[in-house]
Amino acid sequence: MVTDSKPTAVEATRSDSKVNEYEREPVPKNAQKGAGKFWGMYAGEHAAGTEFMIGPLFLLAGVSLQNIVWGLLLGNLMAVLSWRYVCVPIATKARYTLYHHLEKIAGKWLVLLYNLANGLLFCFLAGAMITVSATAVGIPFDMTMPTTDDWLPNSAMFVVVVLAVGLVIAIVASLGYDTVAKFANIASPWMVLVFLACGIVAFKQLGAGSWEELNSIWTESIVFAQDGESESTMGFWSVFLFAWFCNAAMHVGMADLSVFRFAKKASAGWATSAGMYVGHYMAWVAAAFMLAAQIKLNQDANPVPGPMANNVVGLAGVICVVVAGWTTANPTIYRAGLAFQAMAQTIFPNVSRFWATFTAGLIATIAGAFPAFAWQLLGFVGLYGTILAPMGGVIFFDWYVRRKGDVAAFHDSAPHTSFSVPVLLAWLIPVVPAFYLIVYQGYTAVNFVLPCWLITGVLYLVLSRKPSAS
Amino acid sequence: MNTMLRIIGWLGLVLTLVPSLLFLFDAISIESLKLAMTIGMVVWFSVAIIRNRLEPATD
Repeated sequence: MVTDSKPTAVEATRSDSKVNEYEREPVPKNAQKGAGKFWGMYAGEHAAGTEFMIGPLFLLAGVSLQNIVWGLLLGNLMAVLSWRYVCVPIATKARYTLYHHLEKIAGKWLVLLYNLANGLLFCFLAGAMITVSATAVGIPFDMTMPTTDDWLPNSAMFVVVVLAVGLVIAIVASLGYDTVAKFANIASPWMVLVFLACGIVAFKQLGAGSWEELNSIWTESIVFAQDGESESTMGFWSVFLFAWFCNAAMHVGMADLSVFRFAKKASAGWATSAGMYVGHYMAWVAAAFMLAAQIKLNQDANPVPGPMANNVVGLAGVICVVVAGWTTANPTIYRAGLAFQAMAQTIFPNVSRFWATFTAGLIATIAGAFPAFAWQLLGFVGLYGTILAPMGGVIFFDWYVRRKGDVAAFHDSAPHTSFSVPVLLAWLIPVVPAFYLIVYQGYTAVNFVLPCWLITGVLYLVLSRKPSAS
Repeated sequence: MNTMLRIIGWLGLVLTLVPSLLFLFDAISIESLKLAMTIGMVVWFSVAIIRNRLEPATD
C-alpha cells in the first residue's frame, strides 16, 4: 500500500471499490505514475499477517539458518527479476488489466472460470489471515491457542473469536473498504517497523554473540520443536523456490499487469524489491527468530502469532498481528468477491457486489476456523501459484511469440472466441496432474510452478497454431 | 499545524523502533521497551487520525 492518505489509481487496481479506472482500455499517459508510488505500495502489502506464520513454519520444517539466509536472498532476487523482466514489460506496453488482457486471448467465459479458481483460492488465503488475527484477538479472552496438531477448531472460544473477526472483515469488505484501504496506508510504515523491532528483540532474547552461537541456538530450537529430532524437510532449493514462487500468481502469473499498467516505465518493476526484502526477508526472518526466542524462553514451540508477538514487544505486537491480518484479509476477500460477482452475473445479472463479497467473507471465515490452512500455508501458497500462474505463461508466450510484442495490433484485436479450448487444455493438461501429485501424493507444491508455467505456455502455442494461421 | 503533527507522528515511529535498539544494547528493560512501543503506537495512530480529519479542511 502507498503511504498517501488519498487512494490513487495505482492503489485502485488492488483495492479501491469506486475507482475502477481504465478496466477495458489502455491506461492513458496522463494517468501513468512514477516508480515512487510502487515502492511504498509493495513494502506495505508484503508486510502481511501471514508473514508472522511463514518464518516460524521454516523453523518447524527444520530449515537451517544458512539456507534461510541464502535461499531467501536469492529466491527473492528471482521473484524481483520475474516481476521486472516477465510481468512489467508487458504491463507497460499493453497497459491492460490481467482480466482484459486474458479475455482477448482466452475469451470471457474462460476468464470467468479462471476468476472462480482465483476467488476460491483467495478465500482460503484470507482464511489463514483470519486465523492469524484471531490468535491475537483471543489473548485477552484467555483463549486456548490452536497447536500444529489441531487441524480442526480446538475450542468453542476459538470458533467464536474467528467468527467475530471474520464477520467484521466480511462486512467491512462488503461495504467497500475505502476506509480500510486508508487505514492500511496509515498502518503500513508502523507495521514494517514493528516487524523489525520484533526481530531485533527476539535476536537479543536468543542471546547469540556470534554466527556460530546463533546457528547452535537455531539448531537447538529445531530439535526442541521436532521433539528431539533434527530433520529438515526443506533444503536450500526448497527455500529458494518458495521465495521465488510464493507470489508466482502475481509476477509470472501476470496478476500484477493490473498494477503496473499504471507505471510510466518498466523500471518501476524494481519497486517489488521493497516487498520482497522487507516483507519476505526481514519479516520472515524476524518471525522465525520470534519462535526461536519463544522456544528458548518458554519452551513453547507453538507458532501462534498473537502470543509470539506479545512475548517480544507486548501490546504493540498484538495489535500489529491483528492489523496485519485485517488489512490484508480485507482486500483479499474483496478481490474474491469481485471474482464471484463476475461469475454469478453471467447467470444472475443483478447479483450485487455486497452479497458476492459477503459470501466470499463467509467462506474465508469458515476456512479460518480450521487452523490447518494456517499450518499448511507453505504448501497452500505453492498450490495457489501452481494453479493460477500458468495462465501467465499463456500471456507471455502469446505476447512474445504469437504477437511479437505488437502493441497496436493487440489493442485492435478482438477475442477469437468467447471460450478458448486450446487455452483451457493448455492450462489443465499440466495443472491437473500437478494438483493430484501435490494434494494426493504429497509432493512439494512450489516445485511444480515453473514446469506448469512453461508447459502451459508451449502447449498454448502448439494447440492454438491452426486458428492463428487461418 | 500539519508540520507539527507530522513531526509528532514521526516521533511515534521513532518510539516504535528505537526502544528495540536500546534493548539490544542493554540500555532499557523489556518492560520499558513494551511501554515505549505502546506509546509510539498510540501517538502514530492518533496523529494519523487527526491529520486525516484535518485534511479536508486544509484542502
